[in-house]
Amino acid sequence: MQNSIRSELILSGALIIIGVLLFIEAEKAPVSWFPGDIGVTAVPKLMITALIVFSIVLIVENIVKLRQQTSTSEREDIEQKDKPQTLKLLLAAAYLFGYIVILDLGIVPYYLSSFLFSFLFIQLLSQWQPKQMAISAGISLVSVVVIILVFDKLFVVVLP
Amino acid sequence: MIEGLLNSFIAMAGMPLLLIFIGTFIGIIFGAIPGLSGGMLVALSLPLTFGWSPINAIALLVGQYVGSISGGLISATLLNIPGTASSIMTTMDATPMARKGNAARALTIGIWASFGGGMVSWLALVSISPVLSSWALKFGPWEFFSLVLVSLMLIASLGGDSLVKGLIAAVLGMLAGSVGWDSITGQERLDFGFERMQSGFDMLAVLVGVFAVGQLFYEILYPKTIDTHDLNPAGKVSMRMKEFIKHWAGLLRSSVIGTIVGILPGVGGSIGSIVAYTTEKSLSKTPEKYGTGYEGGIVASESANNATVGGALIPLITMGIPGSIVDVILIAALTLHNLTPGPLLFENEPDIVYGFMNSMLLGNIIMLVIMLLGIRYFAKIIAVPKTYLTPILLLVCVVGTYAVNNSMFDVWVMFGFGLLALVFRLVGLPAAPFVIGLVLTPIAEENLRLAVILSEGDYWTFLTRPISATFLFVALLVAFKPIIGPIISRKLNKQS
Repeated sequence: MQNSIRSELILSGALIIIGVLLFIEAEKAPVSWFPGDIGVTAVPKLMITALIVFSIVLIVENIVKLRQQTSTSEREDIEQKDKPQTLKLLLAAAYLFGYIVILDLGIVPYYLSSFLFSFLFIQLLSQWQPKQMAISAGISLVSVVVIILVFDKLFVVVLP
Repeated sequence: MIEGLLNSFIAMAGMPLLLIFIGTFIGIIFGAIPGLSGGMLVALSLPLTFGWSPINAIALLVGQYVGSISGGLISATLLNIPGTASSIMTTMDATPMARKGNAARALTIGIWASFGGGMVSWLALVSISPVLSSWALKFGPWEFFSLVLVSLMLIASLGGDSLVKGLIAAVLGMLAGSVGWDSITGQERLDFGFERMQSGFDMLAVLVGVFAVGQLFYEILYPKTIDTHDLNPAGKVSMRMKEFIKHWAGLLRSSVIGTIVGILPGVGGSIGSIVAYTTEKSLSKTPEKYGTGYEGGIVASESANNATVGGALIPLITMGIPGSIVDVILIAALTLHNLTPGPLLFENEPDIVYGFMNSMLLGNIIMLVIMLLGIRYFAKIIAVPKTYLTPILLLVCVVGTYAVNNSMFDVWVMFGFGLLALVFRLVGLPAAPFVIGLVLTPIAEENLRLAVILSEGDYWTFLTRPISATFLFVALLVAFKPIIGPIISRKLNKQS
């Protein structure tokens, strides 16, 4: 309970900051020249205002919840969910980020970068078990070949 | 209409039929594997259909939609984990029945109920759509704006546990949809000076990010462990028709509920099955049987969730309003093929409308055959480790997103929105209002601005036009639901 209140308060704060930044950006847009038009930024500004108002409502809701909170709900919080695999997720996101960077720069051929990404990803998810390496390599090779065949040859899609 | 529908049905023999078969088959697999979803599959398949005829694209995507909703039954029965959120209520009775050694029987009831629900909603789709479409032709920009507003309010209030969070998600989606060139004057806005952002975010990149990458990241963060010992659909797959027919009234009621819930924008199969299940339980003479492995419970849940498919297609093809999150991707598919969903689709492209209807009909029939014949084999597919599936799906996400515009910027957008979807999930913001807000923003804004220009700045026109005023009144009611709802229920309680 307390965790969710904290995360919602952080979210609301972040959304208010985003809202203010968007409002400043919307101010930079040129004035509409179309006769009778409400303007290019009228609707976005309305939505930004709504975003800030809803975020404030969320903050108020959470402050009320925080006041009403009892010690029993704190106990409930402990038994909430399975332990998150945060490190694994961060590494997975970093792998995908690195893979997209490599594709964007175009320094490594598509098939090689995709094979390496797939291989490392499977290894990451299977906890780097040495006996898994051959299987990971095999599956990665087959997947890359199938993707190239299906997308490039069958559907004539341009690969990154 | 009937002649057109029949001609289109005959024209679907050949490639479209094959694509419906493939789509339904893959859809069942995606629906059956917990963590994968119909939305993910349809989003990933969309880039492949870029060079196809619109009918072929619709055939594949609608087949996948029908298959994925139905496939959720398999893991709900065998693992007590709904393969898709829409099968959540199926677990209440299908799992206990399976644990008693009647897994095959539970699956067979579920498959027939899914088929029944699909057929009832198909009938609704065929009969209601033409009427609604000709009515919607009378809409001006005032009515369309008010309709979009009421849709967004409904999505925000019914899609999640908190109205405020739903509204925040919808507004964020609308803001994401406002980035780039303005559709009326062509002027730039909210691009923070980045040249690549001037054309806005590609809808497909956002959808793949939200539905596929975000979901896969979440599965890495909270992996589900599947006990493969449970995967044994033992027993005979047959069931006496007499046993099934005794639940016909429940099937019909639940299918109608599912269809109606499906029509409501962004609500989807899970709400449909929950409403149908609770209604059936409250109407039953033996409510205590529900939750213990009772056939009626499976019939209610499965018929309702499949019925939402046809229901959700009604606002899509008649007004261009997505009934579910998969419909958002179907709108993207139509846009990709230079088609505009809405009332004019019936007038200008009747073949496309009939294509939707026939794909749904054929998808349901094919789903019935595939699932009845393949129960044992699908059960084995659920056990495929995510370790191997996740990187393959991510590779497809990257290639598919890149392929539409040959743009690496789109791949970055996909990655960014994938992370955003993960954050949404962790903080409890619903994804449905976000994507539907993104899709509906251009419609809402264009119609609002056009309405203001046409009425020469007079905003009261929104209230003096009866249909527009009705929509706005409903939107207001939904907005004040958290305040009005408890007052009404208190009064009702006092009276009773």
